[in-house]
Amino acid sequence: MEKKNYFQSKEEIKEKSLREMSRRTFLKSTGIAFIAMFALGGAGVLAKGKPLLRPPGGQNEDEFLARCIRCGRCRSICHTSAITAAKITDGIVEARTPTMNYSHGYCDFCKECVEVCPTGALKEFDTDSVKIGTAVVQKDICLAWVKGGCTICSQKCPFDAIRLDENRRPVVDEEKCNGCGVCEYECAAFVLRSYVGGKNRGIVVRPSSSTGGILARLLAPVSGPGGNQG
Amino acid sequence: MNERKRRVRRLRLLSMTAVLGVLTAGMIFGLGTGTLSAAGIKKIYLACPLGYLSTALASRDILFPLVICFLVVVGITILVGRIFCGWVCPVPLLRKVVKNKIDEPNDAFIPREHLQQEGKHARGIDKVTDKAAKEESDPSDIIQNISETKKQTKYGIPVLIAALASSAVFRFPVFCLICPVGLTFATIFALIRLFGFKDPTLDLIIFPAIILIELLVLRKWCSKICPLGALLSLISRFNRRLVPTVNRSICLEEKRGAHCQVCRRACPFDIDLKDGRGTGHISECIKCKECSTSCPVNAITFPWKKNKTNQVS
Repeated sequence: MEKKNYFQSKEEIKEKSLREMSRRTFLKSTGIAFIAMFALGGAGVLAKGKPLLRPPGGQNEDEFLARCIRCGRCRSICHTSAITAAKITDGIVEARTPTMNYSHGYCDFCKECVEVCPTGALKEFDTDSVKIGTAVVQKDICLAWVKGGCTICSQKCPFDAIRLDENRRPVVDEEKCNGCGVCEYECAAFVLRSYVGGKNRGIVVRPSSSTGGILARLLAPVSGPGGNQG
Repeated sequence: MNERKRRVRRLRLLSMTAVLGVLTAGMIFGLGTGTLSAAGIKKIYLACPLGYLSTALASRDILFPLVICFLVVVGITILVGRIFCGWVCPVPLLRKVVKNKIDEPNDAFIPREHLQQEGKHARGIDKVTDKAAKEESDPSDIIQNISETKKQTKYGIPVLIAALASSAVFRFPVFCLICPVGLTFATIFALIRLFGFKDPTLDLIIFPAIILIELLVLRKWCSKICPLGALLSLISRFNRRLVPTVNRSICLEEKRGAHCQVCRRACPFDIDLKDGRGTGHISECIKCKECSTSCPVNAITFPWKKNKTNQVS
């Protein structure tokens, strides 16, 4: 049998074996590959985590996730180290995507991250209207709200978005706040309260949009988007 | 192992380490050089072609500047083939660290017991006079001695198609989540985060675990599964330079009728350079030079210009 094949021609043997392989196994392997990739994609969509703070220009979350290839150029170029990578605990799809972390720096809207983004996940933005998120006073941690006296955030805010109420406690003007994170970066509560185990800041920037996944949307508590004003 | 083989392997590891090192330095010093998903300086960069196709499908946009990037990658691949896989991609480097093997072994090709003996004999054939075998051997003898080829299921192109389809449906680049190249850099960043910012994360366990599954459980990642490799293979069908070429006037099998097949056994992709019997196609060649450094008579070269007379069909 083999002898005969050899005398036919080498090309024929080669083609025959290749064709045999492709016809039967290609469908099978395609099936397996599709199941694996669609399971991964489906799991990612279903397990989409909480909304994250994105670098400026990446506020449309669905658009952002469609384009981000997790190359880390924005994170690397950020001169204030305000951009970090989301962790696996932030969600399967969110893992490794850039997110803001204001404990090491704040955003000065230098646009370097937008410049280096290869896929346009971070889009060119207007500095006056861009909104990374909104600062939210954590009334149980904020020194002024708990004890009084501290006015650091309202002094440091470059956009005059934090005013003091009649008891000299900070209140955020959601219109003016663009989520630059200076207040969170400067907040001293996590240092001054550290002796009681506090490691959180008294004012934290939260994402404005909440386009979570199907699961996140189903599980989301029915409540208004952040009524923080007292 | 001969000195030449050792030197080429060392060069390859050095090249992979250099790329990884430069990009890691860029990460540590905040130069914005990025990772192999998209690496470069400022506006000049190269991006992963699979990442490009996935994001273009997910966002339903041709992503203008990236199109040029993609075409440059296509151009490079047509020019020099899958050189990325053999010399740049960190996966062989990881395999070297984990399994102490830079390339996947070729187990599609099973030489018969007596063939191996013949192979040993063939190595000493230099001493035998020229009239050896050729006239004496009968074609039927050759075919009986030709080794068996185990059937191989390759998932590269199916995974590529499935990854792109899944990205288009779920609207995010799906394969990026498990890409060992991306996860290598993610692991490096997790280490930077641990030592630089004192921030231990679960990433440090999960990302290396995925890479280990891909290397140890799925085993033949590069030749059978990697969709990036499959994409580059499709493009490198047009590659005409640095294509391994057998000098048939030196080759033991051609000239002396010995059943050598050492080059095919050495190839991690089971490419048969002489008559294309292997399960690998020449477009899958990653320019690792294993065939050339294994050849007992140095009959295989990687010429910049194609030489018609020696080229294999």
